[in-house]
Amino acid sequence: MARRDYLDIISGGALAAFGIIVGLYALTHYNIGTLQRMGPGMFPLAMGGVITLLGAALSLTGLAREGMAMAPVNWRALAAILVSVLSFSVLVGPFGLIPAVFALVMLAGLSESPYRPVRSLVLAAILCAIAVGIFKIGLGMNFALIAWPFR
Amino acid sequence: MSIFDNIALGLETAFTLTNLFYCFVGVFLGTLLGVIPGIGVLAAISMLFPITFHLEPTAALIMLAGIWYGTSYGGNTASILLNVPGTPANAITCLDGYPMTQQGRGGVALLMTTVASFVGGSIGIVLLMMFAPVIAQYALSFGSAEYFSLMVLGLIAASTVSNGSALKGLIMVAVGILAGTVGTDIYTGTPRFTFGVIELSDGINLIALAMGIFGVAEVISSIGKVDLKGFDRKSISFAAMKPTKDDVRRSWFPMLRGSAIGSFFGTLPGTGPSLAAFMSYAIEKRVARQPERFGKGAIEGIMAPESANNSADQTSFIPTLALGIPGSPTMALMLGALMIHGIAPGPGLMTEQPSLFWGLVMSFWIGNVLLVILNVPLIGVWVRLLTVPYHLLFPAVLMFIAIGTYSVNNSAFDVLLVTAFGGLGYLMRLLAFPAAPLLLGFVLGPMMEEHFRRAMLLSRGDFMTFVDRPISATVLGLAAALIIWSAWSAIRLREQNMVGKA
Repeated sequence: MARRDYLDIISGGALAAFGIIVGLYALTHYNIGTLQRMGPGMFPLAMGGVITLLGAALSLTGLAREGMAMAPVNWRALAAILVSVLSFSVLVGPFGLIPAVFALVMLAGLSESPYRPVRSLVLAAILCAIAVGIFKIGLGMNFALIAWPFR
Repeated sequence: MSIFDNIALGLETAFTLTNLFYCFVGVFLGTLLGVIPGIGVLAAISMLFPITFHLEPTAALIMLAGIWYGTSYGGNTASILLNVPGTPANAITCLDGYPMTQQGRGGVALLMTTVASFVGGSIGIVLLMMFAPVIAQYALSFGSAEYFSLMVLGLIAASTVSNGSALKGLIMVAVGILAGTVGTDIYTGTPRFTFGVIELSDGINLIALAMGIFGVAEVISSIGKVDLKGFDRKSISFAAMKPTKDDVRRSWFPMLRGSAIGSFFGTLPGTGPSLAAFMSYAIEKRVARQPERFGKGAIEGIMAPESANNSADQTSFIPTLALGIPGSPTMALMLGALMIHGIAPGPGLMTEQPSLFWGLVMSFWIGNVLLVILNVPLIGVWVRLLTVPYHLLFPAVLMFIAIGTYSVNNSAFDVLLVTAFGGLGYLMRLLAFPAAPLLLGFVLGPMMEEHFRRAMLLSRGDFMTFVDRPISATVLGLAAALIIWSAWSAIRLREQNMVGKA
């Protein structure tokens, strides 16, 4: 096994690149100002610089050290959960709470194999009831339960 | 008025039926909301804030305060049992609390942290009572240079605390600070990194960031891995909650140290329970005889931060009430409540409205006692929460996260941010980058920038101001020492490893 920590080298490099991009963006878009009268760009530029330096340092330490392998990526869960929360954010405004919660729960269920649609459906119904109970009735929060945005 | 007169006045105010009732309501709702991951102190307070409009100022403040520390009390339950911090201040409790649950000692952890919180809170209250006037005077002499240096120290301490590489911790701090710059710059009104998105003009919502990186990322990592069949039901019973003598023996000093640190940091505006918890964990780890035990269920690792964050909770009221400067967004809400009721907080408050101040302080005692009473029997209930199979639990967690985040600003965009940060948080886990320093950098970044700019303005561009002023210089010296220390111990560790392998 090579005596380098490839993960750290790559992440360090990526971070350094990120730092440079941020720094350049701050330089070109925002007024940097002087040390005495700092402009809005100064701190982002400084942070960009710090990230670049430390990222480079990380890469360098990665060269000298054997690293661990990355944990296995659970692509299915990642995709399912991100999509489910995303769907909530898309649906809650126009369509209201209940459709959003249903979408969230049903899509989140996709992260498991095998997919159990009926179980997800039942769970979604129960959670909707709980949510309405706690947030709408118990706390008196103000959002639409179901709405139809199209006329 | 002597302190005993004040206490008497306070008790008289606090023990009225209405105030007692609202204290109870606040504490109960707070704990309940705190246990639910996805709803933290800010969300809980924002949600319940409108109710307090109709109450009298004293009752309103008492209830809000009850929610405030009830939520962080409840938050540590979620941290310990589910490894999802109920509030950002509880993020540190996950480090040793969750391993304890995995070892079947979840009940013990919960009981001990309840005790730690009570001790921390009580010590904080005593200090609040004794030193409120004195501490307010002391904090007044802090200038921007000192605040900046203190925050630098805190952030460096935070990055050397996480079990991973300190270098990665520092990088995360910088990323957090950078994330904090998103939004409208205070001094010039220039929008920074908003890319034309209106919702970003107030910056990234803290709740969205925290819930994404801690909550959603945790859920993604846990799916398929959480094995509840292996969960030891015996650890739920009352008997199993009993801590061992060793636990108790190991807890005294961490609690005292934690309370001391918490009281100190709570007092200073700009630093609060989260920083107090981080620092106290870092210090415990440094003074421990066996620092390797941390991160694997060391009881000191939960006792100290819990005492720290509870005493910080109590003492954060000092700057808010005494100086009129909120130490944190939550305190800002409290301040808002006061102003809506026509009360101007500040140095005059203690003399003009002694019944308000002392009534509030006494209600803290009552609230803390109520928390112990509520929590000890309910620990069984919280632990039973774990027996719910994970495939039922995680959609519920996600739902609470989504609705909780949405409710802060009625903003679907914030939930979108949660998604983005969830992905980022998962990536960070895979690459072994610690998340807690990022959160801290995000919270402290804007304040650091403000103090830095102000210090620079006052010193007319002289960088040396941070070193010229004695307090600031000492603090920065400590920070530098910390960096050197952690670099040195990292090198030593590597040498030992290599020697071991040879």
